[in-house]
Amino acid sequence: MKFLDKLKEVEKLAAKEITDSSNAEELEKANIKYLGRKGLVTDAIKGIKSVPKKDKPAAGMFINKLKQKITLLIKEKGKSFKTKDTALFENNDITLPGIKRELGHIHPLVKTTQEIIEIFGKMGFKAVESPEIETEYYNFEALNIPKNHPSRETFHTFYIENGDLLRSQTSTSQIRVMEKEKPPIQVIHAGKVYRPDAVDASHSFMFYQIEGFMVDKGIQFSDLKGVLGRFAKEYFGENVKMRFRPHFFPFTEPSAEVDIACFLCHGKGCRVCSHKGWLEVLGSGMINPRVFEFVKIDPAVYTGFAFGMGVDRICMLKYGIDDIRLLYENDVRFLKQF
Amino acid sequence: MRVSFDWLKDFMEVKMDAAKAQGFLTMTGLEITAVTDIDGDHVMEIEVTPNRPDCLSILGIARELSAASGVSIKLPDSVKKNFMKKGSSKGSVKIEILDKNACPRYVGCIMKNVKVGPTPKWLVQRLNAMGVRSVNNIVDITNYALFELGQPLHAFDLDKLEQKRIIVRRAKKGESIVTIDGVNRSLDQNILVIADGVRPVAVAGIMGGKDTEITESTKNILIESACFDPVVIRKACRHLSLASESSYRFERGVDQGMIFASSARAQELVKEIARGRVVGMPSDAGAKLEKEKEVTLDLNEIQRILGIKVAAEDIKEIFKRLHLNPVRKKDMITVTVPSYRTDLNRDIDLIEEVARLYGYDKVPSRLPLFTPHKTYQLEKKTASIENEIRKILCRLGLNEIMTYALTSADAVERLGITAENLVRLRNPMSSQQEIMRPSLLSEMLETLNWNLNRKNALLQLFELNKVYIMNKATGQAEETMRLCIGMCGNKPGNWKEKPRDMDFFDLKGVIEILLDSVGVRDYRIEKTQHPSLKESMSVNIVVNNKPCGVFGEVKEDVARKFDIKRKAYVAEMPIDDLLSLANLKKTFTALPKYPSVKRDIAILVDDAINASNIYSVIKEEARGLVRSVDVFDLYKGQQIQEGKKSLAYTIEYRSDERTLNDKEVNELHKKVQDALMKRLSAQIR
Repeated sequence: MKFLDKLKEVEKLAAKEITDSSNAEELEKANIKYLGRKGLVTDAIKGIKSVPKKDKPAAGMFINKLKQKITLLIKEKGKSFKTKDTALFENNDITLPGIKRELGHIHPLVKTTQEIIEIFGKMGFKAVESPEIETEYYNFEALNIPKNHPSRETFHTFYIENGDLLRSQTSTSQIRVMEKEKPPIQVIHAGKVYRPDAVDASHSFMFYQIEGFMVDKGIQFSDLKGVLGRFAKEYFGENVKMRFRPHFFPFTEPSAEVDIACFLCHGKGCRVCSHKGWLEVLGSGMINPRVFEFVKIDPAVYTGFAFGMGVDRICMLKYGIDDIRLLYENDVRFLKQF
Repeated sequence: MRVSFDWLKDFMEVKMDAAKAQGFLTMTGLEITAVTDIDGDHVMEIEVTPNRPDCLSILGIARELSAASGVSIKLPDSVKKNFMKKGSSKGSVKIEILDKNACPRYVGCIMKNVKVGPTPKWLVQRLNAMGVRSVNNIVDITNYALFELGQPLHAFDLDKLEQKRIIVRRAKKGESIVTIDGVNRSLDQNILVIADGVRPVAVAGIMGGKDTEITESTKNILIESACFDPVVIRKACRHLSLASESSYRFERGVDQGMIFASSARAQELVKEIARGRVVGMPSDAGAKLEKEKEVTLDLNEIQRILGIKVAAEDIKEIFKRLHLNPVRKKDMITVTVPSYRTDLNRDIDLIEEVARLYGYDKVPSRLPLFTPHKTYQLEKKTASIENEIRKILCRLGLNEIMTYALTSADAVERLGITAENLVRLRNPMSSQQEIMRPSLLSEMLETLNWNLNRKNALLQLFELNKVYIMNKATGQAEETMRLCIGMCGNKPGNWKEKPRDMDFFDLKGVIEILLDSVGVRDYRIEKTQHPSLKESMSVNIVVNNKPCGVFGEVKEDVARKFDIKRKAYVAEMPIDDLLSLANLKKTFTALPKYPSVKRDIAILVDDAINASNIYSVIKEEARGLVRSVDVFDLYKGQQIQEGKKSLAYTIEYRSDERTLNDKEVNELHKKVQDALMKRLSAQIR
């Protein structure tokens, strides 16, 4: 039978080529050559038209067997030089590492800012904007920092060519907001501040601060304690120990620095807290009546509190980062940890 | 400031241990930052806030400890008797003050036949605790009085003062002085000096001169006790790059009530230790003593500000401990403020004193009533879109960076950006931070370089931050938010996938997803020119005919200037533009009711024909029944004639009204093929 002879010829050729193939590529070529859409087997099958009707079932059977044989041959041969991946996969090696996609990470300073703002947000503080480039009025005068005060010197504040300055504290936002709004006011503001400090492990000429303040009738020092106490518990944990310590800021009076018990040594004193047992986390106080006078809010009617904290410092404390420069170098091995 | 615990005991009977005293001081506002043991003495490092220069002495700290603990304070007789006293205007020294603003008062006292020599051990030890080495008994006594009372003193060798005169004046240009540290310093009129009849003999308030210093052969001395204007002293310190224990105190302000008393204290010690005797009356030149001021406090204010009720008697007691002599009339208490408490001027200052001594820890905490949902004019409007952008980019695997807003003009130049309209600092610390950046690109490229140098292979970064531009018209600097994306390096492979370099289309994909996610859908991209970007690979995102962002491949020479030796891709977009176009509201679109049918098509077209041309032809021809068009293959090269490219698409057809049958789809697909052939001269393969 001419048709079957042709098929047998194809089978012989295929068997030889498959056996002789020395790598997966050659084997794949053979696969296509014989079993492909335009392959020799496919081609040969077309010859079935010329087979007498009675022989067609047998021819059909033969074709199927031939296909199976060649497929099997290829499979068997394939096992000898499987690509690493399919070989291991077929061994069901479930200990191979999973295929991972890269995760992106929010910068730790942003993460810290977001967490802090969220906590105050729950207490009704709304985030506002305030410029970084400021005038002496907003950065000093209206914050009750007198002319000739050392902090106004070029040693402590960056000035730009037109005589304006880069704010050295986010308290400028108090003036900006109170100029525009009448109490009740309850806002929070995060942003950059600048000071001409040489860069080292704990200093930077630029860093981030968060400022918050609340003004209304009947706001008292005890409210300041309550709000900041709530914040400390939410951010540092319910068991946090905190203390309010008298301090001085020109724009608040009375003023307080807020410490939390060192979470490494729990108040015993260690390297992290410079053996004080306490970590200073923010500055705060009742808004100085003089500040109210500048923004034309009557201090005899309204009172308010304000607080400010260094985001970099809190972020470093929270994550145990020992060098502020890491925050601005942006090494991806660092960024991926948050 | 350093404070010896033993020394404090001179002023009060301290029965408590050092730790307890430290607690008292810290909780009344004098934070102890460190404690060292020096010869069995607890030496405390105390942070004194700038409003309390009166605490820059042992006496000052003792007063605070006394107020906090209730243990009364005792002063040396010489101090007690001479506090708030004045000397004679016609005393034994001829003193002229030529600049009364810079030197309001100068007390000079002559002591003769002193025996300069070693200092007694107890005094040396005390100075040692304060971190000062012993020089000789006279100098040590002036230092001792300074630390004890906070009033800087200086002793001159009287016999070396020309004409035995003291003139307080501005230095003249060309004058100079060798200070006791042996440095020759040239002076000018910014600097206040103490001069004799001929030349400057001391830099006022900062340091004495070598020529007139106390030596072993000194017999007669002049003790200076004066006060100087804080600003004058501070400026002179800056000018000369010189500071001392004296200038530290003058810069913050010294107690005028103590000027004469301190002199008396020094005289007493000189008599005792160096056997000198005072000649004539001490001279006292300058202003009259100011009267002690009175401040009145309404007791109701305490509750209003602090939220605590303190009994009037307790408040009186607090003021008594502070030596404020309170007098109460009903709800009003009037106090008399001692000269050293320059910080007490208004009722709020007294409320602070009550709070401090009552104890911040005893003030109860309460949560105020909050005002919900008030809107503010300055509300941060970009917050929502910024957070959305962050979320999307992080999901896509990008890492957020935060870089410095100050940079060098050189970095901007390297970007190829023209350096007009830069916001320049007048007092930069270095050329690395001399301007405020006009673009986020320079710091992005620096960051890519930093990471490439550290063999971090895959860099997909973004920054949301401000840029700064000087508006020449208004003369004001403007700050605006921008988004910057930077991609560079190699997507590492794994045991299934091959590694590959990042390219333009990785960045484009990120931008497409980002824009889609914030609801910006009607945009087109256009080739553009950008100083930092390769001409053939730099693209504007255009919405409503307005460019609102740029992205592309960084020019090779620009990359090289940032030490980047591989291809880098960046984007920069103003957030305000995005915000105005964005729509963060999500609305639900019903899922398709009828199935879609996919058909592949492979075409050969001229290289000049863009994917977007092909896309629009397909879309137009299929009468709204095309749901998606995906390119799954692009090939140029062997087997394809030159100037041509082969593209393969999968087109998805679907109707919203019914199930499309095979015949319809075939016809549609045929129409698309015909149109591609006719309109783009495409060959169907």
